[in-house]
Amino acid sequence: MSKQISRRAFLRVGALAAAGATLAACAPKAAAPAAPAAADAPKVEATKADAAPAVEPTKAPEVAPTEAPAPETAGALVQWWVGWGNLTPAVESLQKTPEFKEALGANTFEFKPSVNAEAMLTAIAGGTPPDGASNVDYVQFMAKGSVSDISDLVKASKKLNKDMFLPDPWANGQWKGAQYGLPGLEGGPNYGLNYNAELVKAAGLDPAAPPLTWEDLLEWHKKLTIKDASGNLKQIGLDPYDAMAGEPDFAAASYGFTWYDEDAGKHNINNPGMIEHLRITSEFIKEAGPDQLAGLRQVEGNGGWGASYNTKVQAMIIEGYWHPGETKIQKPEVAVNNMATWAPVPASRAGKKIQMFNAHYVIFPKEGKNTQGMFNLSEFFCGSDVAAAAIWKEVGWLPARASFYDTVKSDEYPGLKFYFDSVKQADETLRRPRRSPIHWFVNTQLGEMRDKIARGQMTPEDAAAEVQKRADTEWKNQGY
Amino acid sequence: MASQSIKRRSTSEMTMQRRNLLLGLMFVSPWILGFLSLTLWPLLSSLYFAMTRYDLIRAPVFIGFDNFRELFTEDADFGLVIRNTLIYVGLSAPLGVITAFLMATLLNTRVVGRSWFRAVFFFPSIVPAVVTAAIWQFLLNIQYGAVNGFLQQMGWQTVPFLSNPSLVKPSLIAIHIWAQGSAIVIFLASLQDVPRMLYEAATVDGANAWQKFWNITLPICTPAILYNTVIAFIAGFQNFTMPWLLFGNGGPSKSAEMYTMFMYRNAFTYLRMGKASALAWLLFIVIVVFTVIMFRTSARWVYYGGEK
Repeated sequence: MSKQISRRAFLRVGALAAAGATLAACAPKAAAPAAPAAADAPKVEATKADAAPAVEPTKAPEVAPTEAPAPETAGALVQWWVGWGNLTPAVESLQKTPEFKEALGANTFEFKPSVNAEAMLTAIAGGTPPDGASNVDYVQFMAKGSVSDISDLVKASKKLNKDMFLPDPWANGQWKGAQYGLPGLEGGPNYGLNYNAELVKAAGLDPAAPPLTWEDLLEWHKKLTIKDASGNLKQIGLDPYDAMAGEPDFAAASYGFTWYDEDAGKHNINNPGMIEHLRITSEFIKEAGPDQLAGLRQVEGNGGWGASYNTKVQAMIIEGYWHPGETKIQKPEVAVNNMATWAPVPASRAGKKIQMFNAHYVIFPKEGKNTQGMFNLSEFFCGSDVAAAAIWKEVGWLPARASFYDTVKSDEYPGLKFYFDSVKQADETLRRPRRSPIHWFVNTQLGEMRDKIARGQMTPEDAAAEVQKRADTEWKNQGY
Repeated sequence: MASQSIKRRSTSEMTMQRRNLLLGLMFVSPWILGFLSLTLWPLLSSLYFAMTRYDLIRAPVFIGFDNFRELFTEDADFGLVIRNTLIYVGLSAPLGVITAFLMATLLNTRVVGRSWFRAVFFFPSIVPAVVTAAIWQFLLNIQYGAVNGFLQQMGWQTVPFLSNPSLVKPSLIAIHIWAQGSAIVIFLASLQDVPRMLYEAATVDGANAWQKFWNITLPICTPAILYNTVIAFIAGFQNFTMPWLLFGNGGPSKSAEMYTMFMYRNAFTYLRMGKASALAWLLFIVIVVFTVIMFRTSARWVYYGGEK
């Protein structure tokens, strides 16, 4: 028996099928089952950042991974998005460990590294965020209320507690008294002047007597900056805005002012310290040549954060404790000559030993489907020595936990010892760094102004006043 | 009886027409749905967001025209990016069109290796922008660029093409002019449509090459010139990729910060989606006004054939 299908009938069926397929394709994916929250857990008292004592490595209770109870969730996906790529080898190797498998339980894990800020932002805005996020602009998400207060989860945790972590990194995970960020992936002293002893010696300078003030540093910069016959840079002493030195926090720490008052919601940029900082750093740029320095930093390999130090094009760099480890892993032949000392202060503050302790966090977007599952994994990544050891070995990062610091040899990487010693020796510690929600706006404006100062198009006084005006306007217009 | 039959046939035709209409709508429904949800809805939403303070995360707050007021009265960067963009568009669009037309004219002659040259000139249009940016970076960089390397070898002064505020925009314009393959193809098609008999008649009348070009080639190609000019101006106003790839931070003293980069920065770095929407609508208005002016004035200089 044969049944003929007319052309019209075929088209009708075809159109229906196409429309159905289109609609089906547009339908949202079935959501993973939500994790039960630790509802019974009592709320943790907000930790006051101002009350946090100076960092003292304190012994934390050793965490035994096998004692951990099985995760409460079962069979759900746990998504962790990370803004940078360097954690990848450590996370890959850690996924094979029994401790990780225990923390994961019956869940499945999706790790996404190198997620750019826009992707993270749109996922959060679109209501489909990951369960955890790291290496992102934490303050933006905290200030805008898009991440979960984890006080209850921490309180209920049998593996983590506040006392395990260095006080400042813990406090910096808070916004308006609530705990949003779980430190531990990485954290420690952030400021130090690293220099390549080989290049320093070649310039006729003494690596054992490094500069401690901006004025002395400028002299080193002049001697370490080498140009060819055409005036092009073969080597620079210091790009005063590379790495940690590129942010207003550092200018504030070095010159001893607070650029952003979180409680008052006010910025203090037009002040003598910032003006002086803009003035002296412009001297560094003038010495190198604004066009030449810009050209040098535009090139792949020399443009990224600290990259030109690894290529031996930059002889000095202001960086955190991770620098010795990262350099050893990425460029062992450069790391062998790395030395570190105190970050510079102005001559008027000579002798001050400044330091800042900060960390990277896991934050938990509010609409994440499996916050508990992610928290369980974060207990492992941020609180376990197994994870810390792998991250230390593969990435060069230390966790913000004093107990793990005690297990590490302070001279394992050249220059690292300075950072360990600085914990006890620092006499000025910057608190609440990078806390302004318009941090990136201010940073962009400062970038424009310092270029104009170096090119003689603006005075430092006018630049500081202009950035202050712009910051105040932006603050008002963003509705803070 | 006959009238009933006619009525039945008419009803049947009506049903058939309705069915055909429905069937047609079903076929185009994916596009209609896509247009409504992915174009019209975002477009109208952005108009609303332009009048709000909206950071993508918290609920938008209606603030009327404050975003526009801020742009025109408070934002120091707004004037800068407009100036940067106007300089870029004002020079790159006409120079790009003129270059493309001249190249197409050359390629339309019986030059040896014409096909090879056509491929070579079109090639930049299909090279990914990231690759193009990397190539130009390695050509023009003052420290490591090939062009400056050559200048240095010759004992001449190096030129900070990409690192001096005064040279950044000219360099971007030069890069734009380099990638005119698509416009050249359109001009070539237009040039090949010029009737041969017009040239023959002009030859008989004693016209020289310049007179033939000015009085025949150019007028007949004016529709293509109009099209390429409008497209070049619109693309110029929307220029983002190349300056972003070369100068993600806006370049020295923000000399490469174009309008769309400023819009993007506001939207995704500063989370000022309301302000970015206001910027998008201002750009839309500028482009519409410009395009209308171009088309209105085109009657004076574009030759569409036939009697007036």
